[in-house]
Amino acid sequence: MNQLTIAAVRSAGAGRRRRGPGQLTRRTGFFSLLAVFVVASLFPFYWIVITSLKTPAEIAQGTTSLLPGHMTLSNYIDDFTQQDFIRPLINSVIVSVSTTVLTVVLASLAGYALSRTRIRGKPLILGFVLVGAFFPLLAMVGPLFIVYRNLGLLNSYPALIIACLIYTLPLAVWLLTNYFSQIPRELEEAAIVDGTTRVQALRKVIMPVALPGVFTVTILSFILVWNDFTFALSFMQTPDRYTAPLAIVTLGQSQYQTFYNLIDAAVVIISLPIALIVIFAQRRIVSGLTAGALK
Amino acid sequence: MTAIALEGVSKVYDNGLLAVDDVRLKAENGEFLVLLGPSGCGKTTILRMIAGLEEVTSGELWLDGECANDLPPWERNVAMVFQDGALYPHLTVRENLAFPLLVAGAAEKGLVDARVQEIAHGLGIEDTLDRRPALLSGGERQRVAIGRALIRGQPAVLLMDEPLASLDVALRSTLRAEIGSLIRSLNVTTVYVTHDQVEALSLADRVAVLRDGAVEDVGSPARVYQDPATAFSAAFLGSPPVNLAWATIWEVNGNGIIVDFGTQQLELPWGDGLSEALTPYHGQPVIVGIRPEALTRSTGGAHGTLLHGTVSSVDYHGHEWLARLEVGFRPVELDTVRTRSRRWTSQHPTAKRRLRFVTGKTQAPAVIPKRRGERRGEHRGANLLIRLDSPSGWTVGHEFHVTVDLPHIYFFDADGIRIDTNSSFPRY
Repeated sequence: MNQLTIAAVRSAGAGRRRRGPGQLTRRTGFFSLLAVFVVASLFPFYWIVITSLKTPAEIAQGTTSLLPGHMTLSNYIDDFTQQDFIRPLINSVIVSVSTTVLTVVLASLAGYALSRTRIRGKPLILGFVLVGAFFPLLAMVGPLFIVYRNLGLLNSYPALIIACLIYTLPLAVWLLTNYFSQIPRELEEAAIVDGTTRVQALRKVIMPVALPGVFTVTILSFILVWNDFTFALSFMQTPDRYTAPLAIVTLGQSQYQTFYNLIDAAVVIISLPIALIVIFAQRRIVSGLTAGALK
Repeated sequence: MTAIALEGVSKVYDNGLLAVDDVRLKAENGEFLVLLGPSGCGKTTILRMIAGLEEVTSGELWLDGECANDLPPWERNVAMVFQDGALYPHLTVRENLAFPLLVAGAAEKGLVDARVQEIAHGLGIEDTLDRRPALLSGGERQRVAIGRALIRGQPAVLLMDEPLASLDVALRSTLRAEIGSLIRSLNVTTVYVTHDQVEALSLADRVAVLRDGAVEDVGSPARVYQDPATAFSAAFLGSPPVNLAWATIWEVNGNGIIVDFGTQQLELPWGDGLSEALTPYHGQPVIVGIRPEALTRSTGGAHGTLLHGTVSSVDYHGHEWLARLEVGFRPVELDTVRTRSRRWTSQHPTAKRRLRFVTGKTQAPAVIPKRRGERRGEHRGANLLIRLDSPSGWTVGHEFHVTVDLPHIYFFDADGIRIDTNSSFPRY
């Protein structure tokens, strides 16, 4: 009996490891599936990039080749000179940076307060904050528009900044509350007993320790606001106040033809900051979101 | 001058938990006071009130002759060592040590550096000066924490919250000895919280035994050990623990006192103050405490001092043996003797209801966890524990007689309060 069982076990195990024909087909299947996903995800962006490098003549021809026949940077230059893409970019930067700064400041204070005080309704407050994150934004556009119009704030930076806070604050407060909760109270108590006041303890001990979380919030806020289209479309009336995503709509549109190459060049320009941030800060973003133990 | 004085200090949390109940304690200048007690007895709360991290609900806290109830922690001249070190993780050891000095506004960098070097050398952590706390071992971290507390030179009060609790046992005894000699050389008033009675007895100038938020006993280690004020205090100190049993007192007309355990009796002769103290308890139950070292193998002593029982086990403990004798006594469950309610009642002043940032937990822990291996003074079973130098002659199952050293047994009333002491030690 022993011989039989040993042989059976051996052949079963070997079958799994043997590099037979079954193994090969499984591997090729896996990789081809993977290739499908990769191509499906990246192809649009690839197409945009090569289109942005094509000459206007090639676009006029309606080419469908996968590679640009003649690579040129003229589109990028045209965007900046003829189409005046710089103005919208600057607007985007102003709105994004302002919103991010405000978010970080407000969310840090809120997160610290929510993590340190013991209020009876705290789960309710946090839940309420989270509701703000999931609330349909389009539903808010109408009322906000009316309010801004009555206040005379339409087509101004503050209008957009305040509206974009709706994107960023709920998430930021939630993340930072979580992050601050993981910082042990003993740290501030140690600082206080060492002689700092409460505010000094916050500045010298808590903020440095919370920096990774704050960094994550900064990045996420920036990305969210930079990509905003809805609010910009609703509140910005004149072209000199358009943000970059908004500007793309009217970019490269002439009466007769749509210059996709110009549009795509603009898209690449807009995507660059986000891509760079994500590439360089990817580890930070993930660790900030998962917020590991401090000790 | 008295460095610290607590006068009737109480602490009530918002959920009604009475954490500290009318505590009256003093610590003189340069004294090493240990707050000893099981988990949840309020010792850490008292420490935090001295530091200013918890607000005093009622009563007065005096620091250096000044009422410090409303003084914020940064204005009190106290230094604190936390149980887990609480080192600043974003600073190196050098910066951690220098932190209190820089906060206090020490301008000269050279002086600060010299002082850091001095403290690091004194604690043996010079090699770690440029590392971050995350890279240090537990022992090194605690040393840095101690260094940070001591670096200001002369804090009026040094507070230590179970600094050795998170270390392994071997490291504990080494560091304990170092702490002891270090603090003695500095002569700074220290309040040390622990649940380990060995630490308390070896380090303290005075020990305060706490239970359920109130002081059970306070005095020098020798006094608290040899002359305990309550049954709880007797049970908490001493390893192996004291034998506690219920007994009834009978006074024989003018002849002496009989201590009746039910199955056996002891006779106390008349006339040494002990019997006079016990006379009022005629017919009433008392708690009798006999330390294992007060029992010796009988070589035929006076009849009234003999107890007999069957040996149930003889355990080897390395430096000694412990024998258990089945004597059929009624054991004492200390958890039922004189328990104090931990709920705030209308007789106590209201806890201030305010939003408290950072300091002051307005919510007490819901469950007071019991630590593993911790003493709550329970006495299991009706066995007597006896210390032996050698196990020769002690065989399990045989009946033996032991002599009780009468002057060294304790009598407590049914509430656990000592009856027979005539010591004049201050209980305060």
